[in-house]
Amino acid sequence: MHLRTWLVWIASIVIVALSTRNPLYLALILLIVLVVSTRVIQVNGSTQPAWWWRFGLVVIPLSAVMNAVTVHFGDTVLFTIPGSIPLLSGIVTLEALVYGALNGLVITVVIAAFSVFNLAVPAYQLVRSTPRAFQSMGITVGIALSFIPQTMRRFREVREAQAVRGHRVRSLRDWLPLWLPLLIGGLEQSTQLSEAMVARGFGATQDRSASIRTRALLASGLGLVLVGWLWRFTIHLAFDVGALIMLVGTALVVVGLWWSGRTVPHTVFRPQAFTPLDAICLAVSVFITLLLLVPLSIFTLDSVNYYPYPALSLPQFDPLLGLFMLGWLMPIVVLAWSSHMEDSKTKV
Amino acid sequence: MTTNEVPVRRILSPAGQGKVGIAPGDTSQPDLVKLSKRASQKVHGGSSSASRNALQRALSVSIYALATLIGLTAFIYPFFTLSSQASVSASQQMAHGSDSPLVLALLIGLCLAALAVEAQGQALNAKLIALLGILVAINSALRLAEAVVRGPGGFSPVFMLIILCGYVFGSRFGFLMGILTLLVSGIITGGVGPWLPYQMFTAGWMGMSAGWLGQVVAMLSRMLPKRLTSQTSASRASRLELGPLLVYGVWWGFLYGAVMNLWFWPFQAGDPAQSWQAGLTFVQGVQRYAAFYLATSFVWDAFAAVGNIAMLVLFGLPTLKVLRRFKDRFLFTVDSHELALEGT
Repeated sequence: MHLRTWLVWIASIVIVALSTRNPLYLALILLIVLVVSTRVIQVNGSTQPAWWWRFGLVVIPLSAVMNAVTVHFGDTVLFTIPGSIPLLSGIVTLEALVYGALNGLVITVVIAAFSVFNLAVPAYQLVRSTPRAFQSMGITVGIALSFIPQTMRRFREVREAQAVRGHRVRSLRDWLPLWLPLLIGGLEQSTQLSEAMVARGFGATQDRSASIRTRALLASGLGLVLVGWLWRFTIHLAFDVGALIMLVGTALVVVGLWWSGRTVPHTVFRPQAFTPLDAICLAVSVFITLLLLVPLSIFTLDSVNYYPYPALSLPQFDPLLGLFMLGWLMPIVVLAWSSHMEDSKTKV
Repeated sequence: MTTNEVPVRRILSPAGQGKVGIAPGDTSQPDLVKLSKRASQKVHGGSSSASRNALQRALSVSIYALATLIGLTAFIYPFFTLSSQASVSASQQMAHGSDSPLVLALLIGLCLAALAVEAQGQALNAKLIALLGILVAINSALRLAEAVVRGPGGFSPVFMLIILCGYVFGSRFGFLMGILTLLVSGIITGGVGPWLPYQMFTAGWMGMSAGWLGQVVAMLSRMLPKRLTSQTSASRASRLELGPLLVYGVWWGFLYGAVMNLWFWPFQAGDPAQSWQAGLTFVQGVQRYAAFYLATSFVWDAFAAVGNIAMLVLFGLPTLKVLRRFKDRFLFTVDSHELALEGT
């Protein structure tokens, strides 16, 4: 699946999860993420297990307890913490307990969604998608990602060499004979790498420092953003002038970044295909987000806006909204189709 | 330098300032820079080139200043939201209060992008890209190890190298070291999430301000009596240098946690005495945040601060020595275009 599709899918899930406290919808989203995560692990053949459920098992009860003992609000009193202990003393309510657990559930959903993203999108794909304006940074990230395994291997070698000489790590101080050879070896390696880069003509064709025009665009854009931002907090008019100024400033910065990237030649050996299924998945994600955030006459969003305070009530569930949410399972279809196409190519 | 510049041999630091490989006070080879300047003025009409450079520098400084200022205001906006003047209606306050976190996230991303473009354009050539890439790889491997074997509380070994790299190589390099370490380690540890831009920005500040600390310490060391900076007292002087670094490590141990809390604090539900609320005055906001920080983060961050001290005390001076040894090998550029033209 295309990186852009994954980004929109994850943004859609995170936005909706952050905007509701209805446990039924949150549980449904979590279930969807679990199904997609399982499929991604199958397709990638990843040996890395999904870890977010362990995170959830810790965070949800912890958040519930923390909220219950610090927020003394709600109608259903469970018990009272006596005395005058700051923050803690007072009534402990069922509503506070539930609200804390819901906050933990929201965080778990967000973490779960990002864990799917981390599993699904390989690092090289992220680096390859670096905007042209950040070319040098993209190369640096690429170097760093490539050299992490080498760094770890070198660390093992240094540790073995020191062990042969009788060195044992007993305290933090004993790490110095391991740290310095690792650092010096890395710096020597960077000298060789830079020589190899120069030998292959890196940086020979252009001056990469930003032009006056780019800098002027960035500086004026940032200036306008700051003015607009301050305006919003100081002068309040019916028409949001501050937002308008910020918008213009943002546009100038974006143009500056685009201008900066224009001069950088960029080629991709094997471009990632954006298939019609990607487009459908992307459209479905946007559609679900709009459906759950924009009030329309055909739906009532009361069930989305669940709030356990002041008296706990059962959350509502709109089956139609739940049905639309199943659209987030679309990545499974895209992944299955991609696997099928790759299998066909292999057979041919 | 443009492609039409003068045929003059010139050895420059990356920022185009000073010469490398010639000891300060060495008068045997002063002609390189003078000759370059004279010839440059001759060809470019002197004043126009100088004014162009001055404009470039002014724009660069203003980008850093503005982006830092916006980032700062974006982080501390909960204390200033809507200073609740009587003239502002409650609905307006709530409206701005609810959309502020989203605007904040966009602002942080925007500033990060602008700063990154400016810093990479000025600071990076092939040598520095390779150096930065390898140092980021080493630091990310440390974070990977930390993800497997957790340290106590907020202790993290990655801050030491960010601080020392900024201190030795300057604020731009430190900024890039900070943001890229958090980015790369976030990618390899599965730590990509809505918190990542804030972590990158804060770590970038840590590295950037370490560069300023390096400048201040260098300035102060020039003011020290000569007997302290002589060869025999060199180790003593370098031990003196550790003092400011330790203070800096403690400061950032707490500040990193305090700044990182700010991005989610307005969303945090909890005790009203510790929670953000639209319409608070500055003093009320600070009081509530202080209560929240003391209750939730102080002990955690204390481990980070103590960890920074331990790392700097045990590894700081040897690491500084190594980084400085390699600094001179990396921080120079030969203007190959000028060299080529010199032969014509």
